[in-house]
Order: sequence, then structure tokens, then C-alpha cells
Amino acid sequence: MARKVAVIGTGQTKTVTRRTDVDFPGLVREAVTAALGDAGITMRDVDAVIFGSSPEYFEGVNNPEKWCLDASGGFMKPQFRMHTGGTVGASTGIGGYYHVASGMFGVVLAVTGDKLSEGEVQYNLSTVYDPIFGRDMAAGAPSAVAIQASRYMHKYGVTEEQTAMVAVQDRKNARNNPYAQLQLDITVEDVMKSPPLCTPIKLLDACPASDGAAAMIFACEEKAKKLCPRPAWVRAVSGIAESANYPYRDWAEPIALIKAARKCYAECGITDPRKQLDVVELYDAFSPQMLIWAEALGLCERGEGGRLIESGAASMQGDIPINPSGGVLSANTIGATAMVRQVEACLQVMGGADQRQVEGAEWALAHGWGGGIQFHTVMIVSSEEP
Amino acid sequence: MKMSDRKYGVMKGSIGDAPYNWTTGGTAGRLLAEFRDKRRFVGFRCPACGKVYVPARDICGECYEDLEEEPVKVGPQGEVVSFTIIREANPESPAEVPYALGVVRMDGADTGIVALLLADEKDIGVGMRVVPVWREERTGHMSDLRGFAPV
Amino acid sequence: MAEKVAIVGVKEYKPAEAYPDTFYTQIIVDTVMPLLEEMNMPWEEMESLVAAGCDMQDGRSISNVFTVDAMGGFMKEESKVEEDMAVALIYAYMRVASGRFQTCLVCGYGKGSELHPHYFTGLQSEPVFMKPMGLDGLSTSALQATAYMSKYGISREAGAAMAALDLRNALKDPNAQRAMDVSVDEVLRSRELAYPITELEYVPVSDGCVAVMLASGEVASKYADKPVWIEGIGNCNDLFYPGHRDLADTRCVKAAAERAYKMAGVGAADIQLAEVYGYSSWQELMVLEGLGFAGDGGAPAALEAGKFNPGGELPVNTSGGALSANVWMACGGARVAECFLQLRGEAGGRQVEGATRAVAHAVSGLALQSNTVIVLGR
Repeated sequence: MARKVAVIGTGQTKTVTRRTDVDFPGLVREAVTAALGDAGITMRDVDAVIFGSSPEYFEGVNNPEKWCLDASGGFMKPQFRMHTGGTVGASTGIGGYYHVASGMFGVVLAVTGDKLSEGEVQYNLSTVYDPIFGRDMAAGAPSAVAIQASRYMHKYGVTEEQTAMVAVQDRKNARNNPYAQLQLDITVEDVMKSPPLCTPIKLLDACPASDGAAAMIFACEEKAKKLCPRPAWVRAVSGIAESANYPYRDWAEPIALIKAARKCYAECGITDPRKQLDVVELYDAFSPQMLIWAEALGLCERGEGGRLIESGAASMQGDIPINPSGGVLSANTIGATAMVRQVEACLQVMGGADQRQVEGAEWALAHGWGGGIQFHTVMIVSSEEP
Repeated sequence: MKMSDRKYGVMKGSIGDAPYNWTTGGTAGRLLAEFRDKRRFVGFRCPACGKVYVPARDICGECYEDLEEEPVKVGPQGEVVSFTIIREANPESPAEVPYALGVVRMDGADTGIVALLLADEKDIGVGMRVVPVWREERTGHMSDLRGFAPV
Repeated sequence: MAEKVAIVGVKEYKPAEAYPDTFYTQIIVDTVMPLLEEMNMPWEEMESLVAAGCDMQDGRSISNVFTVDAMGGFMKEESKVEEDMAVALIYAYMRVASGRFQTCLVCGYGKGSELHPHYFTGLQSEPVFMKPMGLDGLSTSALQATAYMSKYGISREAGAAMAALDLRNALKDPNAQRAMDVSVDEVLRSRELAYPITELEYVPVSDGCVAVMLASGEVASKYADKPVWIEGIGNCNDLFYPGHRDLADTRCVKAAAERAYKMAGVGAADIQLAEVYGYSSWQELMVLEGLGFAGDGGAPAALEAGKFNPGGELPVNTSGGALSANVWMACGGARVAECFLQLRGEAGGRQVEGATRAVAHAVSGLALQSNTVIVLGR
């Protein structure tokens, strides 16, 4: 029986295209300060820090956690860096969980972020591709996602209009989120008419690139109960990796996510996720992904993603609100993004999501993906103690 | 105090082919502006422990506090706290090898800045007193400081 | 109390200056697969993986995109710590100690030959004050060495003597890349890289891979007749900018050691051998002081008195240490591997008789900014 771990505070910075008033460590400090304030503790109460950021090429500094050490509060504390691509925000959160679950630490600060504006984002993203086997053809992130989307939409007959609804819904939800970058009032037609990036992905189907950071405070049972009136208990975590390329890979079938979700559901006794979860924050960097992930998470039958979004079931008024925060389509720092999903999930069950609060939310799931659309993380939090 | 009230700067650079526009943050930006406009060093103090940082990076890492907004005077001289003579360079070396690097603590500061030492190898030692030497053309960049020379 | 966690197997791919004909993932496969075979661990029983790799060394962002399968992580609970694998080992320990995993592989690798030797560390410089000065592992180590010499009145012979010990010890290690029967004088007269550090006093760069398998107390004996227990772990970090701290002060190493010793319920006097990692022999001396094996500034004298020799009171770097082979991201793992072999009596000609408790230390970052101390015991 694993030790109980809860989140007792969170913080995030408002995501924008570029911050010129701070450097990367400065962004990190903002998120940390916000989380400490939210939890009502000071750096003296923190036993260990865990840091995450995505490819070093974004800020152009190797071992950025060393550079950000002062700003993350790591002075004379244990600290190390996670980096798992797009999932890094979540793997860092999961790492924070394990810091406490191991019994080694009582209060742990997890902080993630990136300052994408320091360099050329898509150029830097193209360094993900192997230099010998694919970099010449790399076109940043959209190319890989377009391959996934084409396969999925062809396999299940999901239309571009349906995926456009995702883009509309997310940006509309973002208008309730003071931290989101793209708070847009757009229509399906606007999306369909927006310039193509990598067919079928169009400009308005794509996430922005943001500067930002997020932080979470994890605590053991004793500290959580002492410090927080309504902590978000971590009920399950999982991080599964597929391979980037394997012979029988079907890009429409995210088997790593299906496995991670199943493991987490089993651990929580969730047999009907659509009913038993109150809200889901998933990592939709591009609009078709909301539907693919929703299916893999069992929120609807395989191939029914298009109908899910059409029906309004995933809207704030629906029975399984997805991305009240506006999701990744509305803000994407890459480094903090998957952690922001966890932060938002925690805020929901802690009753702290303000305008974007889903009434009475008690069970929330946070998802992240990364790499060659191969790493998937799932974290389930609840106001119900395990 | 608000981060956005601080003076800031941007530094252009590259790693291989990849271009960068690094933001410097408030106190670093201010120091670089002093390099460019006043040819001098300033320090920033931690309100909690009183340590004066040169070069400053917005916070005192030991106390986890924002540094004071108003810079404090340091220098004009400093002391070599440590040094080395570089004979094997890397792609980013600031000079042809061999060259001397030193950690120099300006009078009035509690920390040192790493910069070139403009002196003969045989004359360099810990404790040596030095003054900054500035370039004629300055842009608000670390290289505005040619290095430190013996007093 | 946490679950007990043991190391049940290690494998080190022979480090070399370069393996130009071997793709890096092949090196990884040729380390992990044999490890599983030797331990009789079916792949299904490897429950989790924590990788240690570096995008900038690989020249591939999100380095685990392509290494995850080579490490056997396909469809497993996987994660990656982008630091030396001794740090990844800490995370792996946490995962097993939580009770959620019975086994976890830690794997670090690197092909340092694919980049300029100082580029890897040079890229750790921040852009505003450090990159313009070309700061890197070598220059910051040199500044640290000078500060140390100056603070304690230590002669240049000290760094040379430590290097000589490492390189002579390496002669007995089949996995040594650089090993020589060298005198203090010869070390001093080798090419000076950056005063006071000479070529023989500074880490080489290697291609290689190290894999370490952790297992919970419950299943350890299934895979190893002599599991080596992870008794204590300590990690600590100092301020980033080199000029912001006293480079000769080992407060950070001391704090990491204190944490590890406290967790293990031991003191420095209980340690029978140590593997320490610094970018230069000068930093090895400082680390030995920080670990409590000598007083501040006292390591050179202890070294001269023979304390750290193979037959001495506390043998150090019987493997030859990082000066004999340095795979960025795996070097700390090689320190752990040597301790593992020693504690199981499998260190051949380097064996320290009757050793039952060892310390493996690793650094991350520049000028000893980040330190990890692991206490291992039988």
C-alpha cells in the first residue's frame, strides 16, 4: 500500500508569446512564489525540489536546472531535473509524487517551465528528429501530428469540421482562464479558413508557443492534513512509453495511453471513466488530439470522438467537461504544459478553479504526451482521500 | 516590487545555426546598461542578508528574496579571488589561447565576476588589485568589459 | 519506513575514446540485454525504467525518444532524469521505495566523441555573463582548483598526486580507458590545459553506457545471491554562478554526505572504500574532504600519508575513477558499479579485502555545484 500523497498548492504564470522583463530563471521564480503562496508555506518548509523543462535547445543552456537553481529555491536542497519532452511537466509532477511516496521527503516543490521565445521554436523542435534518419524532412511538431491526425481521421471518418469544434471550444473555455494565452472567440468557419500548416492541421488547429512556468507542492499525509483544508489527493499515476518507430505502429492507436489509463483506473476502482470522472485535462497540442485522447481514455467509444465533441458532452455544460482551462490549444510552454494539466485538475478538485470551475468536481484526470507522440502520462487526483 | 518595472535587456547570440534572443532579466540588464552608458559596475543587495551581488540575477539564492531595486556603488577597484590561464580553448572562447580568466570581487561587493585578466601570466596572483578596462564601442554586453588590468 | 532497495546487477560497456562504428543505441542494447541475461531476469520482470541521457550530447532533443526501446522500456513505466545517472538512480530508488515497483532499471549513456570535448560542459554556461567568457567544465574547474590551493596553501603536487593514484589504479581495471603507471612529476609535466590543471589531471571523454538494476527487498534475492543495499542517499545543490560562492567551500558536498550518512545511520568512519567523481583530480581532493575523509584542506596530506591508496585505510577510486574513463551522464553510474563489484568481492586484482560499506559520489553541473552521495552496503 503506497503512502498517501496530496497536492497542497499550485502556481502558474500567465502564458504569453514572449516575456522580455524576466529571463528563464525569473519565470521559474514566479511560478514557485505563486505555489508557495497558494500552499501558505515558505521555502524553508520545502524539503526537496524537482525541476522539469523540455529540450535545452529552447533556452540554449545545457542543464538549465543548474542555471535556475537559485530561482527554483534549490539552494542547499536536493534537486534534479526531469526531461521527457512534452510530458516533462507531468513526469516532474509524477516525480514530485514519488519524492513523497518514497518516504524520503515530507514537502516537495515541483516546478516546470520553458521560455520558448528565446530561440526559434520550430527550428529547435526539429532537433528532435534524428540527424541521420529524418531531420532533413523535419517540419517541427506539426508534421508528426498531421500524420497521426490523417490516419485517425481516415480510420474513423472524423471530419475536419469536427476537429475544428475542438479548436473553438478550447479557446472559448480559455476566456475563463486568466493564465491562458489564446482567449479567442472563433467559429468553425474561422478554423476551416485559417492557413494550412501541415494538412489536415491548420493554423487555428494548432497550439501557440508560450513563455511560462508552473509549480506544485506535494505533501505527505501528515503535512497535507496540517497545511491544507482541501488537498488534492493523488490517487494514481502512470507514465508509459511506446517506441517512436516500430513496424506495426498504428498512429491512430495510442497503446501507451490506453495502458496508462487502464492502470490508473484499476488503481482507483474506476470502471466507467465517463461517469466516475468529473473533469479531464488532456494535452491537445493540435485539435484532432482531443478526440484521439478522449477515446483512448475511454470517455467514449473508439471512433466516436467526433460525435463526442459535436454533442457538447465535453463542453463546460456537458457531462464530461474536457479542458476547462482551454487546454494546450490555448497555451503551450511545452515545459510546463503537462504540469498545468495536473495543476488544473488539482484546482478543480480543490474547488479553486474560479470561473472555470466544474461544479462539485471531486475526481479529475490529467494527461500529457510527448516525444514521437509516444510518451503518455496520466495522473488522477481526487478530493476523496484514498 | 514589480518585475515589469525593472529595466531589462535582450542579448543576441547563437548556438551553431540556431539563433537566440536571450532576455537578461532586470538586474543583469541594468548592469549591462551601466557597462554601456557609465563604464562602471553596480551591485544589488539582498534585503535579508545584506549580501551585495555582482553580477546580480534578480534574487538572492541563499535567502530566496528579490534583490533591492536600487543598485549600490561598488568598485572602482576589485580583487582577484581566483584565476586560471586557459591553454585549451572551446568554440566559445573569448580570446586566443593562452589567456587569463579571473574571478574578481569589486570593492563593496560580496561576490565575484568572471572576466578576462589583462596581465602577464607571471604577474597574476590571488589578491591582486585590478580595475576594469572598457571597450570604446559598447553595446550593453558582457564583452563591453575588455577585462581587468592590474592597478 | 521505506521499502529496502538493492542493486542486483550492473553492466558497464567498456568505455573508449570513440566507437565510430557503433551507433549509440547499439551500445545501449549491448549493455542492457546482457545485464538481463546475466541476472536471469526475464524482460517482463523489468517493471520500470529511469534513463539518464542528455539532448545536447546526443544532438537530439528529447533524447529518450530513440533510446527508450534500446533500454527495454517499450510499453513500460518509463521516465528520464536529464542528469548523471547517479541522480537517475535516486529517482529509481524512490520509485521502488514507494512500493509501487519491484524492479527498476537505471541506464546512462553517452557518445562524447561526437562533440568537441568542452562543448558539453560549455553549453551549461548561461548566456549573459558566462557564454561570452567561454566558461565550461575545464575553466570553472581550474578557477576552483586555484581557489582551493590558495585557501589552504596547497601545492600543485597535490592535484598531480591524486591523478597519479587514479591512473595507476586504473591499470587493474579491465574497463579503463586511460591507465598508466605514472609519477607525480609526469602528471605535472603533462600538457597544461588550464592552470593548474594538466591533461592527466582532467577527465577524458568517453563513449559508453552503464546499466544498473534496482530491486526491492522482497525480490532482490531472486536476481542476486549478494544484493548490495542502497543504505543512504544524499543530494545537494549550491548557487549557480561560480563567482557567487566560495569555490573552495565544500558545504554542498558536506550536506549531501550528511544526508546520505544520516539515512544510512553511519558516519564517515564506517566507510571502507569510496568512488568519487570530479572533473579534475583537484575536485576529487575537495570531495574527499566534503565526504569527511579528511579535514578542510587536509586531503592532500591524507593522500600523501597513503590513506587513499589501494592498501590504505580508505581506498579511493580503485576503478581509476573518472580520470580513467568519463562517459558524460554515466560516469556516476560507473562509480556505483565499482562499489557494487567491490562489495560483492568481484573486483579481481583491485579487490579491497572485506569491504562491506562503500560510498559512490557523483557531480552534476560546474565546479561541484551539485553533488550526489550514495552509501552502499552488504
